[in-house]
Amino acid sequence: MNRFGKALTVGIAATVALAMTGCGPDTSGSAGSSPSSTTDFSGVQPAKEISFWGNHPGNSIAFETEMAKKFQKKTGIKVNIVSAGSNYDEVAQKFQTAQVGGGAGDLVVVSDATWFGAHLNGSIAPVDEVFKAAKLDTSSYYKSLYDDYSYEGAHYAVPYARSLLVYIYDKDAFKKAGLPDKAPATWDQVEQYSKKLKAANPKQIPFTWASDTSYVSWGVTSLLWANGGDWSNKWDFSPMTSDKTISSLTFAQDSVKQGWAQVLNGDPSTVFGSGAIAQMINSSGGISGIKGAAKFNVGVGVLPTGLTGDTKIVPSGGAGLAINAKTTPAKKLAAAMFADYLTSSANTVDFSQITGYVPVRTDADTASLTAANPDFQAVLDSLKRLRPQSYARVLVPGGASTLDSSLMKILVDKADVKQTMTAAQTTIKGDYEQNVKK
Amino acid sequence: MGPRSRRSARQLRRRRRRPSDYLYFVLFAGPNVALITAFVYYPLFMNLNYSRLNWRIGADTAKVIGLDNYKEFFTSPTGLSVWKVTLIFTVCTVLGSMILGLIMAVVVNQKLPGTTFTRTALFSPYVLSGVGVALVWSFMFDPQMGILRYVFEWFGKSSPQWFLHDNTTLTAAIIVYVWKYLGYCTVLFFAGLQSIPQDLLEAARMDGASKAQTFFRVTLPLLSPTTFFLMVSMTLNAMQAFDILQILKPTGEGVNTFVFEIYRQSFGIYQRAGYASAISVVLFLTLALITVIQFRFVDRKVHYA
Repeated sequence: MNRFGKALTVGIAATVALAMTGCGPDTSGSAGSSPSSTTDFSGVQPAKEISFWGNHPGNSIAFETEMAKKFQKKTGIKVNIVSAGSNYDEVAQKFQTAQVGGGAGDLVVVSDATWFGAHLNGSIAPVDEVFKAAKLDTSSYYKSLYDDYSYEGAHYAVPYARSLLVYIYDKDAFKKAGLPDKAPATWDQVEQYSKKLKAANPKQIPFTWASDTSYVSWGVTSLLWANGGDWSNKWDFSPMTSDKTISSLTFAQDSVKQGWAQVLNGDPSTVFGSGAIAQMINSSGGISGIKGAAKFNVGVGVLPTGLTGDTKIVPSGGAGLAINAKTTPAKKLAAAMFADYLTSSANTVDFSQITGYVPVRTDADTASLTAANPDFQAVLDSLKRLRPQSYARVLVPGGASTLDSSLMKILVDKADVKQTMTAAQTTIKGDYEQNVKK
Repeated sequence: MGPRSRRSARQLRRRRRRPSDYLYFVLFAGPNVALITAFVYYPLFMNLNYSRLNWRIGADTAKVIGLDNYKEFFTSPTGLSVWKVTLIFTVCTVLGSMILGLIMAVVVNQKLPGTTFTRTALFSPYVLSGVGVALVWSFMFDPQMGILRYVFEWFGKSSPQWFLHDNTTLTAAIIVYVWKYLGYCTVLFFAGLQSIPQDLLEAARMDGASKAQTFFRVTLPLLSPTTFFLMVSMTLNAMQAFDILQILKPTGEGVNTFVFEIYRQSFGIYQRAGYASAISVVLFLTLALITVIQFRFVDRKVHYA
């Protein structure tokens, strides 16, 4: 190599080395979250323009655009609606990646499974202080929905496109099997009904569990809660291997072994519409799609209870609205104002009407919802039965995935329940210690 | 010209270079060097830098943990599963595509009616988008509504639940991948077959070689440049597979090859950019090593006409 070649190589290496030292994260402190410092809002006026990143849950882009126009008319604040992904995960990926390069949205849609990761990275601000500074009220949000975003005394999002699990059944199949036209009230009844449905129509799957690609652990959570089990109690993961959890999961495994339940790959709601399934647990957000596709009568009910008789057994899902921690105080205020407007008592009902998601305010007038769709009453009844989700499933990075794959081993491969859950507990504990514990 | 005179000629040329030569070099090569530096070397070195950090993507802070990410990848059950899945997937798809591609190439090389159409039909999956191919196949694999269900029923069997078990998920992914790349191998092997001098085949026949002997002793050795090229390119391709796998099994269970695991760890559920960077470095070194081995040892057995 001649002198020029050497000089060029040294130059490139030096440039790269210099760039390396100037970029990337600060390595002087500990990994993980940046402490969410308190913002001083004194004398700050809301910004005149903000960006709202989301995936328009429930095909709500027209609604969101309309809301932005009305909001601008009311407050003078312009909201730029940005399609930041086709689902919650893509929005989270784009939002997190944009934190490195800058330019992330001021208000962002975060799912129940993605907000905590953003919090760990210090990317989203506690909404309590911003709402307080903007003189906005959070007390009328359904407590359980709001508390899904609560951690260490602060909330990191407000509920927006929230769904919950309901029981969906084929009314015609129930009639043929001589069953009453309502969802089973207990898990024992689920078993009895399923056996009768199988006897009446052996070709139809009596009951289906979702697969790992359709979040099987979400639906199974309800079975656990109904029978006194759980995935965790905050950061204590021992409930995952408790007797009540193991017996509940053994019940689920037996349902497949005995042939009155099956695990289906993909989205069960698609298969349900074809008439191949008689009963399933599904998101309330999918009711209208299922009813539209089905060529039979579809029934909707609340989830069955179990041994404990506890009615607080309904897990929620969906997404909320979070505020970018790194945006200016003025934009934070404007973002909080738009989040409040989008989820106001009146607008949350309109949003539910269009998308099928649940109203997020306790003072929302839901009469119009049930008048237009009587099945929505089961959704409203389920709202009173909500319980915040287990940390192991929604807050531990990879928690839901570990539980989903473990359940697949239990339900599909008929693996030993205790051993599988002990292994899952070890994995989730490891992921917690690596990603969350400081 | 001896070594000494060659050296003095080089020195003479160097002395004769004018400053404007360097200016021209910078003007013409500079933009390319800058682009390569910005988009190849810079990310490469940054990736190396990130691989020694415990860093969640998007976080402002990170902790230097040395080689811990590498240790984890080489010792954790998930890391070992990535090696296993990548190895099975790569070996099966490379061998499957190449062996079937060679057979198809031999078939379409015959003077039979409809071979042009067959060649086009075989090649067309290669130009299709991997996402589209995977979506169509995922419908076909559906045990309730997919066309394969009827094929199994015809044989008196029920369709497997392809994507519920890790083994069948990987099998399905290999089938789709081989189907997509079969045409590519066929066309290249076909081109290789066409370039074999007919007089060599004729000579083998005249010497009394059977068809099998001619194929294995003459045709196959003369196809070795094509085989070598396909082996290198298909191996590199298979080890970087992602799109088809992600569509077939979004959670990655059973198909978490290197690239899928990098995606899962960095942008997916974990957001562990440091750990994902370490896997990227391991992938880079593995690919470089495989390529070097192929060029150093396999290349010697290649017969260039």
